[in-house]
Amino acid sequence: MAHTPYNGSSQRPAGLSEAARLELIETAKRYPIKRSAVLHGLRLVQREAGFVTEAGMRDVASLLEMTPHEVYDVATFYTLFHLRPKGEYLIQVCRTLPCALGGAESLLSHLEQRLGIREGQTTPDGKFTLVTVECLAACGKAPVMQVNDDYHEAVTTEQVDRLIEQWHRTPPVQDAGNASTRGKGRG
Amino acid sequence: MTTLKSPVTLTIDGKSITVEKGTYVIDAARQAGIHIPYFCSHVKLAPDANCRMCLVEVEKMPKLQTSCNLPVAEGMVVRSTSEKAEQAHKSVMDFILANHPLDCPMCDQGGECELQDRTHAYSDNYSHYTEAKRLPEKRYFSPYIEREMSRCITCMRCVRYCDEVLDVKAIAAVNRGDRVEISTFMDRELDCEFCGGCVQICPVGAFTNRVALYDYRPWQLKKTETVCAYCADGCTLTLESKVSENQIVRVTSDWEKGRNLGDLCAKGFFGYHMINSPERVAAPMIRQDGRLVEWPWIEAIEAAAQRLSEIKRRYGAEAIGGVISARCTNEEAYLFQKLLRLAIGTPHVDSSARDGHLNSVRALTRVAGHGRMTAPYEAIEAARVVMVIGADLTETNPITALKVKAAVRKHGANLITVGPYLKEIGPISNLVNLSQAPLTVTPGSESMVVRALVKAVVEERLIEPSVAAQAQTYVARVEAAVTQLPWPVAEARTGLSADAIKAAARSLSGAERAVVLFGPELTRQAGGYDAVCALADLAILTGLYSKPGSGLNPLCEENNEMGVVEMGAAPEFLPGLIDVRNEAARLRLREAWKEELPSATGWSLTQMLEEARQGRLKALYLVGEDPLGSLPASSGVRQALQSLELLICQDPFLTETGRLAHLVLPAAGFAEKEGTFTNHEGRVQRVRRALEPVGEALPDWDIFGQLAAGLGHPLDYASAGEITDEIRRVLSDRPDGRIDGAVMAQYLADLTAEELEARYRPGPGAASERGRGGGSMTLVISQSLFHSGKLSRRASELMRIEPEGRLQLNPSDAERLGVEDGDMVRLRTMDGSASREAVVPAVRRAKIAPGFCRFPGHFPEAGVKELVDWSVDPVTQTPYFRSGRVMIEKAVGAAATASVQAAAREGV
Repeated sequence: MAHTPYNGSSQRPAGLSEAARLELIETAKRYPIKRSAVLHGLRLVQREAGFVTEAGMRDVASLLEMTPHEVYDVATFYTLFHLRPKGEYLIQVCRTLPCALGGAESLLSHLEQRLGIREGQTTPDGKFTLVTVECLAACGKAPVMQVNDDYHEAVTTEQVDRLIEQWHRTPPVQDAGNASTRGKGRG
Repeated sequence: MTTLKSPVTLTIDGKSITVEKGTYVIDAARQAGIHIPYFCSHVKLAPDANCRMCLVEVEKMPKLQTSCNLPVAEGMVVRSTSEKAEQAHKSVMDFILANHPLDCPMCDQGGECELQDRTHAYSDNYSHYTEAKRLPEKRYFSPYIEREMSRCITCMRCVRYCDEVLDVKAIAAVNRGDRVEISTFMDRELDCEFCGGCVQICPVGAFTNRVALYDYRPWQLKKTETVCAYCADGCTLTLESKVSENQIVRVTSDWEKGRNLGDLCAKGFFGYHMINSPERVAAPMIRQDGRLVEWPWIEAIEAAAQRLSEIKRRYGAEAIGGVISARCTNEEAYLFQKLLRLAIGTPHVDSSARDGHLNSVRALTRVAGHGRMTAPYEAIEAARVVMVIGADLTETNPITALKVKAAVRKHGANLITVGPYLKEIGPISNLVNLSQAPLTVTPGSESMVVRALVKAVVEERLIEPSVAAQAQTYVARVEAAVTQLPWPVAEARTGLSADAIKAAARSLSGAERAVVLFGPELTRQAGGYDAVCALADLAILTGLYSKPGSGLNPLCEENNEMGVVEMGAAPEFLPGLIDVRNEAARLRLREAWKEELPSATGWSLTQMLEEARQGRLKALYLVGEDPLGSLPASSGVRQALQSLELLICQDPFLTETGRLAHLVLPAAGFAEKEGTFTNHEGRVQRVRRALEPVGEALPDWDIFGQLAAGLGHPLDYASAGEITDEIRRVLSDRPDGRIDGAVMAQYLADLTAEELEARYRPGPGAASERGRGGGSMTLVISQSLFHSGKLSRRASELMRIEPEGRLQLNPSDAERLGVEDGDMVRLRTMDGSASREAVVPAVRRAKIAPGFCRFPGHFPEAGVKELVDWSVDPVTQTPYFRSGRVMIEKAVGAAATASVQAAAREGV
């Protein structure tokens, strides 16, 4: 067995950009221990690649002097980190009790039908990923869904249809870690 | 009962108990003989309180508390068996068993499973759950460690052990909640140090030994507690064997026992297959018509005795010499030197400890009266400053390295590593990562760093006051001597700034408790003896010898290097490290033995080879030694061995040297005999017989006894224990590990200004500058974590983990050469007009400093050993053959042909 170091190979696709590396190095300086910046590192990876890539995790590990195993441990703990590519629009439907009573199930099946995918899947064009989540903390306006960073409350099927039309025409405009910016310049 | 510093009294289950402040309730209960159930808590680990099994009721606390992380408080009243507590235990058991498959009948942990025992003691005999059990997908993990995640109770002991104790962090808790799996990065095959710690610490059968998978039921195995035969760390092992098959099935280690306290390395945990290796020699062999043929024991002993007597008669006893391996027991080394010195009458007796360790023993015995560590493992762990110089400790002495890791990680010690090493976070731990200010030096300049440290101590007035007051002449002479070493020279040679060296010197001398560990990259490199002498100066001046809890610690490679020398298996020492020239001591020994000892000073291993070449040594008796396999051809070893009239090889295996022998005697391995080993701390530990010897093999001491009888000079012992008793008697006043004040006073008084001047004269430069090879890279033959000498080559699992030697080099050097991992590289040296080369695979290691490369010495057939410089220490006769200067290039389309070329060269 070859015992090669984790940071052995020099050129990797889809790792952190130079700017992100510098940002992470700067962020790490705010903490007594470098590894404390691991969540920020993972956010940077996801912001740039759209999901948490293997190369990105290796870069975070190497910059923060952790093993990739430890970074993977953290990345798999948080549901907001995605270890597989996802659509430009991440549709998260709340399935906790108040939303369930408010019609979350029919909302979900309508979305599945409109998008032609099942929960947990991504459309072949890479536009939409549909998932269910636990409480989004807006129970007063059930059913609720979160699409990238925006909340949509008391959602009706008509509203969903309108939104899907609109999303089909335009790429997402914002991001905050869990949204994709692939193909888009950032300010 | 020992007095407590800050006693705290509390009540647990109605029992009043007084413990030290800071004790956790679960431990206080244990002291009072009360067992509170737990899973995640472990003596090796910091409390984590994740399993919730140890919940107890505490008066005045509203909720149940986890007793494993609850410190005791005065007047605290704890109940572990109240209804509330017992109900909690049942609920936790119910949760833990919710998804557990209860596949105990086919689980290797069955019978020694903490979950099985707790289920029996604390669980209702039914579950509250009716849902289907969640069954994690079974996936391949490792050839050595079996993972069965359905059995996992997510106590995280394995992940915590791998981090807290090993500092490796090769496994992680992936996902969350009931989906947690212990896995690796991206669920790849496990790549780590393979210490087996996760297997040992797992309370259930989630991690088991895959090498022994389904081979045993724990209660059917015979358990024998003994000491590891690989390195000198001296780990206590439990060999677990099947009596009916005379086979070791697995190795474990008790967390509360031995110097290792349960921790092992891959060699200890997975390296046991050498014992039952199919390559073992099963019967004596005699050379007949150029071939080795099997022969009955009685006749083989007779033949050996007869031929030895014949040589003695014709050439005198001094034409006979013997060398014993430092893997043999103290009893065997003691009896071997008696056999040679008394029964044969020759002073020529040596051991493999000559290869470096004698540099330490010779230098340190002059200074302190013995060559053992002066700071035991407990002191390493408790030290405020630890310096490791000339050793890549995690590879050479992995368990001693654990003590250093604990010093840093548990107690916040300041670690200073000195060597051509850099930070590298990889599957194998690295002490440099734990060092705040590592000294990354030019390869081969370690001895210059030592001298520069002494200079810094003297110039910066860092001398321990008591030493400065008591040894004024000595201090003045050192002060004068170090003026010969200008800072610019020290800086240029070591690659360090004077400031960095001074800072390290300040840390060392300013520390309340400081320990310096040194190893092969000092003792096995040219000038090793002088380097250890300089290191002793550093230790004396910084108070390492006088401050309690401080010390200077030599590291040994083979398990009993310390012991064989102390037993007198060295031409310059009689048993007890008595100088052979010390007439009074010789007389005392003569009285004890009631026999005359040869008066001449004997030859060392290197001298014996030279004398054989010159025709003065006619017979060589090698016990467990294989000079032909170890030494480079340039040492002339083959010619020396071929010049002998009689070569006896006594060994568990047929070695390269054995193939040249006239007589091969099959020796028992460490698991097949009784005796003692002395580790590098100086601890003498019992070796116990677990198995019957393979074939007709006999313990070495038994063979010595028979041979002595054959020589008409009986050395009769009914058991190894009888030899131990004699050693105790004869050496009752000899080294006990304490520093001999009289010896040190004598040393300080006797040390001449001339010797000190010679010691601190800058000399011809570091190996990197004076090496003959003419290349640009410094090559060092090193030790690997997965191997020990050539013995581990017989251990099938270690050969699976590391099957071949790879040249390790810095990624920047690799890039310059256009070399990727696994690519073949050609190493070349020019010696005058002659060029020598070897072709080996390369691997990048960020740890290796640029300009430095190393190759594991356990793979001599690769031919790399032929590229190093050969020299012999003028004082200690230590052979040096572990470094050189080489040119490296990518070998396009080449296979590993070096062994063939090396063999061809050797034949010339």
